[in-house]
Amino acid sequence: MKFNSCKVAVSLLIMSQFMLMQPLHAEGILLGGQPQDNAEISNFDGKIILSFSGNVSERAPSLLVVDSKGTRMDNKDVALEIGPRSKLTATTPTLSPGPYVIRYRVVTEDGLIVSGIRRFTIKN
Amino acid sequence: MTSLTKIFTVAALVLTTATASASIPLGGVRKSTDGKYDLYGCMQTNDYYVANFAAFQTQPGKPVDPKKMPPPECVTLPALGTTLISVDLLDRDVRRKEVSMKVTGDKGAVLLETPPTMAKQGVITGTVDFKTKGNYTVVLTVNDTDLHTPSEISALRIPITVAMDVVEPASKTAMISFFGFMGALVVMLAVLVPRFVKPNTAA
Repeated sequence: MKFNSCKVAVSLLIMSQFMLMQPLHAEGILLGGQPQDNAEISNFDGKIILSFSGNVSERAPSLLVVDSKGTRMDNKDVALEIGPRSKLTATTPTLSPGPYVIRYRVVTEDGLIVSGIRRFTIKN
Repeated sequence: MTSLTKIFTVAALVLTTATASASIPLGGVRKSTDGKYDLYGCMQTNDYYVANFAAFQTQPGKPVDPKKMPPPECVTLPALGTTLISVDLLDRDVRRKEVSMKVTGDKGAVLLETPPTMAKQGVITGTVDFKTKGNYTVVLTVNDTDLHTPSEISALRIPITVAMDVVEPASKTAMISFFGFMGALVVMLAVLVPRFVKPNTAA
């Protein structure tokens, strides 16, 4: 009987941890975007779109693109569309073949920073 | 392996995964740039990086005791003296890169420069002794091995003020001047008018 109570208690503890984790995952995660991470593309339309889950805020969004020398290549026109799947967008002029790095950032209403790096390559 | 051990193992693995994939929190309610306290605290950003700034000031002549720290100030430091500057790096990838911090005066004098360090815990600290009031800049430089952007371009510059006099709002000063002037005028009239109105008894 005691062992069963212990099992129930442990199960409840684990369930509560799962319940606590749910908001963590709801507070802003990069779901995906275009170009995809490490994509090799030959016909890039100059549009970068990243989608985020969770309660993304309007505070300090950022999205920039640099080439292999670290030179900034985006048009500095970052925009954030807040919704169930918030979209962070920016554009670039026509890019010459080579590797590029995207740096992105959004801040959630709960004070969490979602930022990181993605890469893509323009092929000949 | 008992069922309890299995449950604990699974729970530990799940929690570890959750921690690894979570975003970086700003660090709770802190004083912000406008002096109010909110969740975003003293968040500082540029297009490249985001960090949370904090400055801990002790009374002049007293050394910094990490165990008895006063509440953190944001970018408006009220006093001169020994100040512990602490910057939380809020970009996860930056914690795997070499970061240095420099504090400069408005004439370019360097008060502090930390060597490039990989801050795995995400915190860069340094102690500065501010001897004169004025404007200063905290410059955070990242050796970004992903972007390869020159650090002078991507550096996060945080302007701070130290022991600057608080200027009263113009409207408040104007109101005080107006009522002061009106008060003086009333007193002057109260003294002078009866003298002019008073009939000349000698005539």
